[in-house]
Amino acid sequence: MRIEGSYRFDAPPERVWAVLQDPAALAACIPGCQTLEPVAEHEFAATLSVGVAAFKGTYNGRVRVAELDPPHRYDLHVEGSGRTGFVKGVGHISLEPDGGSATQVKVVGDAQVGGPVLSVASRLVVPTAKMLMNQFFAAMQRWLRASPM
Amino acid sequence: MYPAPFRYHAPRSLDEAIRLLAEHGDEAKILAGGHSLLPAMRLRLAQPKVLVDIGRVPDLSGIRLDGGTLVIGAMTTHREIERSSAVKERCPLLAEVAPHIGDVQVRHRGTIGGSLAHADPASDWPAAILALDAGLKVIGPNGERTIPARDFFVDVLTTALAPDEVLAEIRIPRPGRAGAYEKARNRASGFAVVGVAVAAEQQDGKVASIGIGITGAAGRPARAEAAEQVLLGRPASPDTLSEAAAQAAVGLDCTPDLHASAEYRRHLVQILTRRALSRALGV
Repeated sequence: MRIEGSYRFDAPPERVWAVLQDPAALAACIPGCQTLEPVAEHEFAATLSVGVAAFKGTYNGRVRVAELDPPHRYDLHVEGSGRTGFVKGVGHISLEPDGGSATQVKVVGDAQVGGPVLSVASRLVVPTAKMLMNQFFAAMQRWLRASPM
Repeated sequence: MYPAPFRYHAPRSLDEAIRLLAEHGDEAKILAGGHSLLPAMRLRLAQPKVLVDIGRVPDLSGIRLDGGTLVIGAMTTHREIERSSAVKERCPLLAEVAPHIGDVQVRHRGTIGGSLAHADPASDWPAAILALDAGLKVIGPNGERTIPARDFFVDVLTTALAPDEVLAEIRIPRPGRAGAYEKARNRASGFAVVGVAVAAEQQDGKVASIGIGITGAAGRPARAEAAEQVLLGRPASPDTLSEAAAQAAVGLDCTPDLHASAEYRRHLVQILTRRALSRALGV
């Protein structure tokens, strides 16, 4: 499955970059994030309790940041599984200045999803992933506005 | 698989149902026809702790006319709508959409209110409800309110209903408008890869009112407003219909999945809009 999104931040790329790499910001903004523990440099173990409406599940996974080119681009490798299925994928994230003091963050992701969730709800997987990504970036935008310069 | 354990309530009144929902909050789910919720529970995709079965609450089902408004109770089954002569006469679009849902067994149990409140992004009713400018009457602890269809669908499986509100009625204003529903059906699930519903009225050779509702294409159903604007106040001709259909996917964030790419869905939206317009407007 392929997923794309574009989000505008009212801050220059350096600040957006710093927030996107900040474990405290990530833990606060990832939907349903219960724990986010560093396990190595640029690598975290996470527990998410996430879902939509009655479809909820707990997932354990790892997140690894690679190909860092601050403040322009990085890759986010994600692996997780829970009772309802598994996901494994990579997101390519790029930051582009938009005017003097804003940034466009673009995400192009590719993921494999499998497990029981596909047998009844394959049509829900992509829109749900997109909704969660939108929630994450909206939370990040709020976090950035609320955090001091 | 067996579902996870849950407690089951079958309230005999709407007040009691609302009280149970308020009491159990996030842990409770309303059971209507059960044809989306129960399969999800058996796979343990959903594990509500409490089910509130509204099947014994009086006055939630049935089809009636209230002045100029066609009123459909939320617990009315798809099959009842499909077979209703009042619906055929007053709202042919709904009669046309109903047989597209699942199979006849599903339609005998599944309800229009359950389907709308579940808000599966590929279900059929939302396209029609949007095209018809329906109002959704919901009742909660603070009384009732009517949510316009275009404000009801928020995101995937997410509606404007509060957790302690019950969808009671679907209210269709201005019945009698012409309608058509065109659908590219997923062969395995029966759900819409894309579905387009049109409700329209012509006066003095011009399009006097038009609603185009699209389901299946994106994470939530939507009105094709750009396409509607092309037609409003103009005569319906092959050229104006094609011009409108070309605008039908404007603003849609089409979903790519294993059944269809985003580009293919966008294409289907335009093709199916053209066909639905053609039938609804008789051109």
